[in-house]
Amino acid sequence: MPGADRAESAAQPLAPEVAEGAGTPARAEVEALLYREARLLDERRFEEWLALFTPDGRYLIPAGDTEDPEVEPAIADDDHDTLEDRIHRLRSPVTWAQSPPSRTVHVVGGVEVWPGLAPAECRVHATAVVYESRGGQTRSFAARCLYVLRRVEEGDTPWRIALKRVLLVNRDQPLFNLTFLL
Amino acid sequence: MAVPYSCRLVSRRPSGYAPPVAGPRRAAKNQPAANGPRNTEAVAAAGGPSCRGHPDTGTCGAAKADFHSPASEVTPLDAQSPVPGTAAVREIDVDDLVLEDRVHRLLYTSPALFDAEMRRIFERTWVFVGHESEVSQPGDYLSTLVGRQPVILSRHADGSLHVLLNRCMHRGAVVCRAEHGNSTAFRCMYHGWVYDTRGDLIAVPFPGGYGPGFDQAALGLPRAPRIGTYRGFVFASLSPAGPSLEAHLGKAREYLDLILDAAPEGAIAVRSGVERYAYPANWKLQIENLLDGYHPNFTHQIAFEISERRRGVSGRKANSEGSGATARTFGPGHGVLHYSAVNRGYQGRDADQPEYRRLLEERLGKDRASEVLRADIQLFVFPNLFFQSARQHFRVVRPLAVDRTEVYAYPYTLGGAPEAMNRRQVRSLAWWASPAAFGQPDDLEAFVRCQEGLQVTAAEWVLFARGLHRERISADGEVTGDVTDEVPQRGIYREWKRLMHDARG
Repeated sequence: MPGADRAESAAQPLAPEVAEGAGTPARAEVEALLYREARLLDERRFEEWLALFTPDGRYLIPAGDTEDPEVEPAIADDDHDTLEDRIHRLRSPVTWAQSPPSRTVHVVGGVEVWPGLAPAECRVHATAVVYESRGGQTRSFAARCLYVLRRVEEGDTPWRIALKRVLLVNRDQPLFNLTFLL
Repeated sequence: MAVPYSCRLVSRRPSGYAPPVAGPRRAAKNQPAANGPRNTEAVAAAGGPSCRGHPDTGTCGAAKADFHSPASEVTPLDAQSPVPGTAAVREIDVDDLVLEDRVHRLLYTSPALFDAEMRRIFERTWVFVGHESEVSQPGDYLSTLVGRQPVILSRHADGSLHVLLNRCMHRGAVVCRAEHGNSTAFRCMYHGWVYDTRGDLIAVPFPGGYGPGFDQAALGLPRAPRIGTYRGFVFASLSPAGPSLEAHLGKAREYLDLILDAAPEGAIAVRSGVERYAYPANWKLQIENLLDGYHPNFTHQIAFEISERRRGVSGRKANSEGSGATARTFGPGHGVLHYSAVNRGYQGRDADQPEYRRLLEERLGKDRASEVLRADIQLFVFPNLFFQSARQHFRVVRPLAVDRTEVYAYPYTLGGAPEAMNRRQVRSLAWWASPAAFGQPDDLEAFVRCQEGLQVTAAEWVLFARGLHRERISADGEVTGDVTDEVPQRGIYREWKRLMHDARG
């Protein structure tokens, strides 16, 4: 596939040559945030999950290797409002693709932290395997998750998610029902 | 004439004995004459003429279904009646499967019928393979499927377009696995045979090993016997005979013009990625659904709710009975949902950009520009191509197996339109047509539930009776009904039946 070469470019924000910056959180702190994020999703505490995002936070699941969802449409391309809508959808009894709802387990690992490209930000790479069970079938999805975290003053978590980008290994394949949160 | 929904399909006797029941056979006489002479023909399992099996299992020889079961006068079509030694007479008559207002569940569950669909529909009629803008430069190619057969659409050095069967003439490997790219040649990875972008075999390694009878010139990649284009859309037919592309498209060209004229330069470009989704159910559930104005208020209740809250509009009213929107069918199975009377088309979204309107009026004149800006239509081109003007994309339905389907949704950009407008349109597709979207996944849930429910043998029929009593037929043969009427679905199955009838496929 010609896409194979371009796949690596999707990891651009991870450029490790960027020097350690002041205020980059310790890995343990980031891990705690990601584990909590995973647990909130698995416990269907979606509103608390959304509260981990900054008001301008984005949730992006690309369908290809292009960075820009206006050039190549994404599988999910959500700003804060759209995430609210998505959660509303997950709570509605007439969202047929989630009736019955998916049960999930997010397994998160391989957490690495880099300084961000903007002040008070850091970048995180993690791997995730998501098991999803619904309608008598269990499926698994593997992804590299790229985060941009931003330090905020308020709340008990100083770091919030400004961007979560989920790079599914099979994002170039036709997939069935990804209406749960990855 | 409608048939009582409880009536069962009658199996025909080899003797020509007509069972003493009124029912579907008689109703079927109301079918348009275009269905041609009746042709009771065996739908063989993949094994060939000596290997005819039960349509639900696709098995050979020992299959225990016999549609000429002498055991009872009225037999459900898929009854299991073991009659040893009668393998050769297992037949399905498509007239028994598709009536005016209903189709049989076997259309969705029978692997043997699926095989027959691939041969008689997809390997015969015109099938979309790609858009010229995807292969605009010499050496550009894309690979896709016509039915189950892998093909390559390529642009040769001289600018000519070719649809090549993707299969090395040596041992059969596909010579191209990339979805698209640019190359001067296709080299088979197995033994290194090389074909140019016209399909000619231009190199065979160690040629001394082949004797004087080896005819390299005759070993080019097979080509689709017929290829045709309309406004950049390239279609291929794997059958050397049949109606021209122009005749096949018929009035679909007018509707396509209405959609594509929204490009100020008159041409669209298909270079903006693709949304792909898959579902474990029959492909026809998707094509029925694309022009189904009856389901949105129920299947998409939540999407409409969200859309109304955020944007103040939704498809709720347009898809209500009596909204003024219409469902239409015309030609060989094509159809349209026509919302122009109730929705605003580009006018409501982008025509507020004065520059866009000006460019369009410059090329089309005021009247046609207004018509195009107002247009909100969904067009289905039989057997598997669908356009939605409002979401500026088209979709290709790929049947993989009787219960496995993939759909590719391609956003396109309007040549000459403001870039911001095109970019917004590309981006918006994720909201409706991705596997994580707010719309399409609820349809997929419906397809999966249908595939499950259609395993029930006590009820054999899927009903498309809605609006049959209020169809209007125009002088050019287009049939129109309320947007919630099952007019397009009846059109699809009339063409399905006509093609499936003909055993030459």
